[in-house]
Amino acid sequence: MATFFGEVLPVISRAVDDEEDEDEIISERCDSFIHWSSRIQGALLHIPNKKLECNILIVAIGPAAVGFTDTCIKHGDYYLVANIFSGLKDDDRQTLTQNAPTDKTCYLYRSNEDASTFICLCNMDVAVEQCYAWVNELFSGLDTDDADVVVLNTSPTSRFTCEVPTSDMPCPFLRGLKTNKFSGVPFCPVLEQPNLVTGLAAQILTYCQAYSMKALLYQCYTKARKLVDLETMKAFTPCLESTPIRDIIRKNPEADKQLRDIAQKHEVQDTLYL
Amino acid sequence: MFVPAAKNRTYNWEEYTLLVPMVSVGNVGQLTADLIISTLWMDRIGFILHDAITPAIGNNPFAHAATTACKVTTCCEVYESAATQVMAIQQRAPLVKGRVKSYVKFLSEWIKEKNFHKVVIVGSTFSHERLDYQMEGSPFRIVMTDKLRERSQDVLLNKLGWHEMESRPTVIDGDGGEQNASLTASLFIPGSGIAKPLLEAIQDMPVLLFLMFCSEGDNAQDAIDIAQQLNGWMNLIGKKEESCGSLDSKDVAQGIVDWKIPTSWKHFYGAKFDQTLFH
Repeated sequence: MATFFGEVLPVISRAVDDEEDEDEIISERCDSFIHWSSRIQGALLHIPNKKLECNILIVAIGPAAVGFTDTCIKHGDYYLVANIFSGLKDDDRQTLTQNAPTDKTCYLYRSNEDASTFICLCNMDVAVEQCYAWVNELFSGLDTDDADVVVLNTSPTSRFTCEVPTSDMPCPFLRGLKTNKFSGVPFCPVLEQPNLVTGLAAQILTYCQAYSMKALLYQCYTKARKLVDLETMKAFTPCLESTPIRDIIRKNPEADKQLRDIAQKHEVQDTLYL
Repeated sequence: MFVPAAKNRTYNWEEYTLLVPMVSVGNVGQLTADLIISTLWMDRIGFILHDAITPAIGNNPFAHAATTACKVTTCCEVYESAATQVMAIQQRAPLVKGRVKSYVKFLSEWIKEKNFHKVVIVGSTFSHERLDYQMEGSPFRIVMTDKLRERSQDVLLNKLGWHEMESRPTVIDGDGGEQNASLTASLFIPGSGIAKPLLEAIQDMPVLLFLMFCSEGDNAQDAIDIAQQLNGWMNLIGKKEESCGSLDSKDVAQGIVDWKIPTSWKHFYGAKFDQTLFH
């Protein structure tokens, strides 16, 4: 497009990326896949529909939700049943401890006390093109027809749109969304129009809504850089009193200290104001 | 994959018109679908799950602004209005690069299988790509497939006064094959998303591709204009009023007919900011 002064500017569209010949760039990365532990693989052989019974599934996405869930919900007796790998490239190194920068793993844990309770911790960003496969892989091994699914997610306040400037809002704050099948209501305000949730959390809720499953999303809007600090993690605390989480937790006396440690760990890595 | 919202219902859509908005310049197609869905109070009857669509969810975009109820809306949904025999596939998120072909294949097969009475693809194309002789007059252009031409050419071109998209011979690829005889070979519609491959895939059906020349910006009025044009042909509002009585809503855009603006159109340009910033 030429401007008044004659220079030619490239025209971009927010809606479409208009390169006519699109090549299959996605195939470089492998799709998400789930790897069950050998113990579970053995158990699955004896189950007719090849799915583990699941009544409660909690999915924490992002460092703040993972930190909170790890400290306040998963501190009981849980063991690792599966890893979900996402968007691995051929030359990515994988440490299985999620400490290497190239680790692209999410973990699925199962309760030792109640075998139908699962917690999924996803500390990494799952790329949008991987989300569909990620969710299908997760639900491929779980019989979730009657399950309560809870998703905890964080997002920057700058993504939140409402009448009041977000600079005037007390942060962090929670917003909820639920599928039709879930009969209760979220304990916090429902996410207002025209706000959107994107990424993995959105894909999980989409799946649950389409297949008539009970699911709840708690989305924490925070001003924290890298979306994690002590306040952000603590913002999820009211979830502990809500269905179905209140049925499965025991109080962790060390929670405060552990949360502070996690916050500190992230603070140390933040080099903005060195 | 199409997942119906009600498991036990069987559908017969052979008498229905299907609206397929394209993710295209200014999101005009989607905005038009929004207006039509909201004005006709269409029912959500199913979801489309496909790995090519990027995930996005929100609360009900068509609910009253004051409502506190929660109804999750997903990135691609199918709506139906039994009263007007219209359906719409509302896609609210862009496609993943590299999976567009598989999505077009899925969508076109689904549309063919359901054997709709007619299909209307609504999209837009960059206005700066107009040639000199396209500059003046109506910004709307149409492309008809042969089946639709047989049926409605007179109405579309003479009665409604719509213009056919002017063909623009492009560089013939490779050996200059015979495929150029096809409908879309000389169609030049940059910024229209998957309109061209989709039209190509379903060209054996009665299909109208309705395009508008426009640019990115506040495209709400463009959407109202397109809805107005389509209403002139399909008489959506008239049929709706006949079967359900008149529409009463305060959030309407004035025109020849009143379109109900969905709640999701609030804050088109982001949140309010602290005004003291610029003192």
